Amino acid sequence: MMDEEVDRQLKALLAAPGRPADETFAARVERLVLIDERLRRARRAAWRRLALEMAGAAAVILVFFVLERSGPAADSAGIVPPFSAAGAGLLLLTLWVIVSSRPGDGAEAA
Amino acid sequence: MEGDESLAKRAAAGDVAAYTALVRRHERRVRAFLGRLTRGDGADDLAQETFLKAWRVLGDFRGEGSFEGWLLRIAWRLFLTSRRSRREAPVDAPDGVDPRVEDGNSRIDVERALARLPARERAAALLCLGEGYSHGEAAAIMEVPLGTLKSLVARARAALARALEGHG
Repeated sequence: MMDEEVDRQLKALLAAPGRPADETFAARVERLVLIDERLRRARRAAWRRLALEMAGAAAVILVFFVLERSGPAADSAGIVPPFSAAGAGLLLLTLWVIVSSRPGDGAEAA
Repeated sequence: MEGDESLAKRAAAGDVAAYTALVRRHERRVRAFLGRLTRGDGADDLAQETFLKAWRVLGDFRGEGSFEGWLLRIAWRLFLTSRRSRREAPVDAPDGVDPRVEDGNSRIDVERALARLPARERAAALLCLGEGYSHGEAAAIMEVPLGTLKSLVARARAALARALEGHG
């Protein structure tokens, strides 16, 4: 058999069979991709949330450290001055609580 | 019809519909390639894995070669990984299949001869002899040097030609 004839026959025998696209397979892959995309978004949201909480925790620790360094408060009679380290700490703590308890976060992660 | 590169760009930006169009366009060849490599054993699972992996790394597709070639490279890598994880024979060893029975049908003879080839020769034959990829493209898909690829194709072609001529 001539080389060209062998090559022609091998091509005919080895080439992928001609047929229309398999819609079931395509739909299955599409479903997998959508699930994968949702998981990726949830993972990203979880990392963002973790970073935010770590930053909040670091800020609170820093404030307590500053407070501890600045010695006992003067006669404040239990009132925290707004423009002080303690005031800033309370503000950060409040913001942290608000951010952490946003109802949307849990739904996004799920 | 929108080209692969443009669809891939849209898909990389998160357009799932564009990606599904690419899956529809290329699933036939990817599945046929994996089907012949695995001899049907888990080929569709590997094909799904190939398309999922491709979706995750779409940003890496630079359009330097064909999109299909890029997909086949992912499929080939996944095939090698699955083979290693199942502790199958190395890709250069002949695959153990039933001894060939002469039946006069050239398609069946060639299929049997193909199944008996080591995986690397089988892949090289499918890409170059079946799908018409150039040696350079096939070498890039299989990530082997060009000289190695040429030897693989030559050995595979000789074995398949023998089967075709009824002397396999």
